[in-house]
Amino acid sequence: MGATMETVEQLPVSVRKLWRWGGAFTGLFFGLITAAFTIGAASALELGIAGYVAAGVLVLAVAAVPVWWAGVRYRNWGWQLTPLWVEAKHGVLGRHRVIIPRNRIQTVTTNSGPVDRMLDLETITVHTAGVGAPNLTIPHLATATVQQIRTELGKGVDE
Amino acid sequence: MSELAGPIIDSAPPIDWKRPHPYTLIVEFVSSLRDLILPIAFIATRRGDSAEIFPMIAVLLPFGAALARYYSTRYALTSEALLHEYGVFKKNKQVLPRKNIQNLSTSAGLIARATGLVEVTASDASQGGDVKLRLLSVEDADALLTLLRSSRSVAVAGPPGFAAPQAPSFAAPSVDPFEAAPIHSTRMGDLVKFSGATSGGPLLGIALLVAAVVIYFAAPELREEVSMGTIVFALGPAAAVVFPALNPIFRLGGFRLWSDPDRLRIKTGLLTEIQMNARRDRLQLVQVDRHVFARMLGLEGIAFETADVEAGSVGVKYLAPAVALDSWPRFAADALGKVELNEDDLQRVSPLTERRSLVRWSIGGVPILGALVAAAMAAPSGNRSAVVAIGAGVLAFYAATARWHARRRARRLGWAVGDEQFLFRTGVIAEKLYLIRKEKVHYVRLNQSFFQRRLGLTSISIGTAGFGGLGRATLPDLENAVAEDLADRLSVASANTPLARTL
Repeated sequence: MGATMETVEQLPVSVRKLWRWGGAFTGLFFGLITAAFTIGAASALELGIAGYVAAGVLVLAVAAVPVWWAGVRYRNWGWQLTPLWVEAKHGVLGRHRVIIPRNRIQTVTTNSGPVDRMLDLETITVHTAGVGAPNLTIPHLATATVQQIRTELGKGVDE
Repeated sequence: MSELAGPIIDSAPPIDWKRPHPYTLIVEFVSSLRDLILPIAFIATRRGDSAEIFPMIAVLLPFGAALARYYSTRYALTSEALLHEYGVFKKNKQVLPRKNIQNLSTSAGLIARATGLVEVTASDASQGGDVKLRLLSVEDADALLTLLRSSRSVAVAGPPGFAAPQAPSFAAPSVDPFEAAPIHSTRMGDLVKFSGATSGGPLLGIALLVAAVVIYFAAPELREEVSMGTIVFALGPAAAVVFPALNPIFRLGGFRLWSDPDRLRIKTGLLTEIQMNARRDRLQLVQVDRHVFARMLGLEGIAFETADVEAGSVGVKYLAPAVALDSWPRFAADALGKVELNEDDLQRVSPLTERRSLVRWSIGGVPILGALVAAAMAAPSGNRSAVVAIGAGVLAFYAATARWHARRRARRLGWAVGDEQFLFRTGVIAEKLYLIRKEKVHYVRLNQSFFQRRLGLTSISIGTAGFGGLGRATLPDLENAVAEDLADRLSVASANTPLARTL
């Protein structure tokens, strides 16, 4: 999807690090659960060294997947602000693209959690009119970029 | 509510803040008493030696809360926006730009009516954007509404081809507009047939019947244990079949439609009568409901979606709930001004949609197969062959239905784009036709599931500013390039239309 991928902006590089850390914690959690099951099964079935090696490989794989996934997710995230609309593209297995024309924007909100504030990041959400309309959310943008987008979109709203 | 409206406050002259009417204290006191009833009841049961202070607590606690609420609430109307601040512990500030106000309404509960106060609600087009000013004297409310109405009527401009929209009206009209002859009245017989066909009752009934037959053969011992309790228990599923069909009959019985130059008027309901005005310039789309069973009866339902908060929240979405098949162009032309596309213009989606549909039916068949195998294994040996035969019949029926569904899906799903409108046809069992003016598009969304990516397919969703559940049309399984092109064309058309014409 996306004939204009070359003009699509990526999220800040620090987001990749942020998501990888999140993936590492998730991987650690599921890795520990997998370790408990596989090592228990290997000892119960008396599989010997080969069983423990296989269990270790499985645990490492389970722990590594979320970290790898975070990187792939980052690579697939993009957003674009054109003179006519604001657009976001994302998704790893499935792909999603949302386009909201500038002059349809009703509200722009931003929020940032403690970790976001430490990294000087903000999440921006664009709302349109109507119930059930999807909000276009671009996560973890640099604060300066968010201010710039808000100013740009504000022009669109005022016009 | 717009954060973007922030600078409006800074640049405005000194703000003339006002507080609610002092009688609000009485209403707030009763409201606080109701909110604090549990703590007060708890203190009452524990009073012991401190019995004499209980009446003080029972009065002072709610009164204190009422005072705090009263003095923490204020509102102001500037040249740009309606401002509202409230909240004792959590301070809330609302800024509603006057140009964004969509609806104004007043309401008064029992106590408010006794004290001559009203609550004024101003809404914009976003979800949860209401400003509720409680409570004002009728004079203050009238003055505020007059000011807001005057700014609103200047701000709104209607689309070409329609009569100029009127400002929201709060006074009762001098002549009953429902006195004239309606342009459409739904026949009760058609409504009963349409409701029965579209409620899902027939399908549910068939499923329940098959399940009962399988259980009858798989567990013969249950036949001996059928009691009154079992029959009463079985009434639940029976009610599930009947009630969904009855509800629309009560809600849409006596449906009549009037067509005025600037709005549609609807009156409907057998028990509770609902009257609704839907301004034409705020109509977002026309949707034609053609359930497969209704089609067999030669009927279709024609619905609409509006950006009007009040009309959207009434829950009546029909221009004509049960009319003869293919009547929709007449009603759509009346609602949208004209119809420039018809079903002959539709282009089909990708033929690969048939394969995708078959995969989905195959996955859905796994639990059915599992249940049938379990039933065959659980059945006594004497009945096993009967259960297997029924199971084979169910699977054959399922496979045939899947094949029919997949082929029909590839034949029926379609789209067409004209100069000002576009038309989507989606669904197989519950087929729907969406006719939308391009200028009403508020967002475009493209989605690909994992399997769609493998097949090079994309689903497109077009959203409008509709306030009910019908405000979005989704067409699955377009070829990628077609979906991208369609998304770009509709986005450009939308981006080139001023917002005021789309709400």
